[in-house]
Amino acid sequence: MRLCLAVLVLVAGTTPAAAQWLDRPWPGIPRTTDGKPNLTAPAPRGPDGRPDLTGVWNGATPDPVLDAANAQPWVNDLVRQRGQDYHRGRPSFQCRPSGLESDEFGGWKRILQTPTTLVILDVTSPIA
Amino acid sequence: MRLFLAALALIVGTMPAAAQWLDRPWPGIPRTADGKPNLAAPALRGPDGKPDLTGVWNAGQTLGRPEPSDLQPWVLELARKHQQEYHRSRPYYQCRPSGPEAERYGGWKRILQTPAVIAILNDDLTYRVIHMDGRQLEAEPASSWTGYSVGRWEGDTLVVESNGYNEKVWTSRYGVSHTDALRVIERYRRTNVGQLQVEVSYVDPGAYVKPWGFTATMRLAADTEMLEAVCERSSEHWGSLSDAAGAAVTVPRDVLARYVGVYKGIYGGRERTYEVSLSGSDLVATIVGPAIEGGLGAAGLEDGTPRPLVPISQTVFEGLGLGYQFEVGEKGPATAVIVIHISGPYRYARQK
Repeated sequence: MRLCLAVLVLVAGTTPAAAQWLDRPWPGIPRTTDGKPNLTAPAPRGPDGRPDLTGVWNGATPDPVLDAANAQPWVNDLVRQRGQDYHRGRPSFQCRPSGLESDEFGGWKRILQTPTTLVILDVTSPIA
Repeated sequence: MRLFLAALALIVGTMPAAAQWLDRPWPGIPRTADGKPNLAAPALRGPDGKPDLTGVWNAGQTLGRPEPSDLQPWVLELARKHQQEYHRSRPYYQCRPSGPEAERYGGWKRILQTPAVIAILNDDLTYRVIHMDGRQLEAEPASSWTGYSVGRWEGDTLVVESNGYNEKVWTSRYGVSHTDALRVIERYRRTNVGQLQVEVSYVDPGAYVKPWGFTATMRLAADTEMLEAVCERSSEHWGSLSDAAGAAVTVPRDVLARYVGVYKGIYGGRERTYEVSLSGSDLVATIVGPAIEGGLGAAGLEDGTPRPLVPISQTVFEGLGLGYQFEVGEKGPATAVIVIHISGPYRYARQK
């Protein structure tokens, strides 16, 4: 039990803080007359005319449901097995990158867009 | 014993691959007549006329080795302690971000430069964000692994000032700590297409008697990609030298004498020679090489400095968290020593 609790505490340090620690006006985004960001204005575009995704974004955690009928039997077996070993087996609980795990599309991201590369920086690790 | 060996093998997965997997011509870089990147051409510049640091860069080994006299006594004492627990306490071996550690300026980086932000991505999937929107350094930023960075241009030199590092990060692989007041000042200069130089200075009067630092040269890794090198196995559960000493067994001197000798093998693609000797009643191993004068490497972190080997059994020893297993027959001297390193076991055959 003590070992189990110790392991759980270890993982707690990897959880990002919920609050942002700095409020600072960003340059280059449209604003309303009272100076607030105009979030309903048309999307900014880059020099090439394409939408510019650059910015800090935050979204709710998706809650996808895997349709068991749509998965191969071995996948369903593995899902059940991983459910039994959840806090040890899930990559993010091992301080490892989550890759394309659907739940990780939620939360804080910073996107940087350049003509040749777009980078998505996670609060834990980037996906380039 | 098996646990000890298993623990030593745990972080095998942390070693980055040596090869790049993709060759693809980059757009937008000058090329010679034969189509190769012209790395000697003048540095590229962005729309604002400033040098554009964007690209994939690779630097050789960097070494942050302040003089012991540069450090406040408590920092020097803590560095010695960290060295004793080197493979357990260094953030990198714990799969944690290395923050401003000097040695992590080496290796692969991707830099992305945009008007408001410059991002430096490391191959271990950590990253830094440098704010370029004219803001000042925060007086009391939130404590973090990678710090808070603001940059500005002084002519063609990008000057980055950073603070806000947590107390867990080191500034050098030698276990050098810092206070909350640490400021890291970097000066980046792209001298041509193929070369980016950075001068790094650590300023922290509460920890360092005077600022210290180093200079690193990064080479453009044109027409290729940066691979990820994710730390997958933490050294959290490794033993330390002090742990090993607590679990040490007594090995008779005549047995230890069988291990004395010179052993040769290959590590990191290069020949490496270990000299094993007796120091009093203790066994010590030294990687043969030019010693660097000064005290910070004295615990055996580099060539030419002896590392004490603590006996875990009659044939297995621990030194700075690495394992040393001697191959012996019924009689006579050992025929080889297996050094169980971060990246796996390496066999060194006895030469004499």
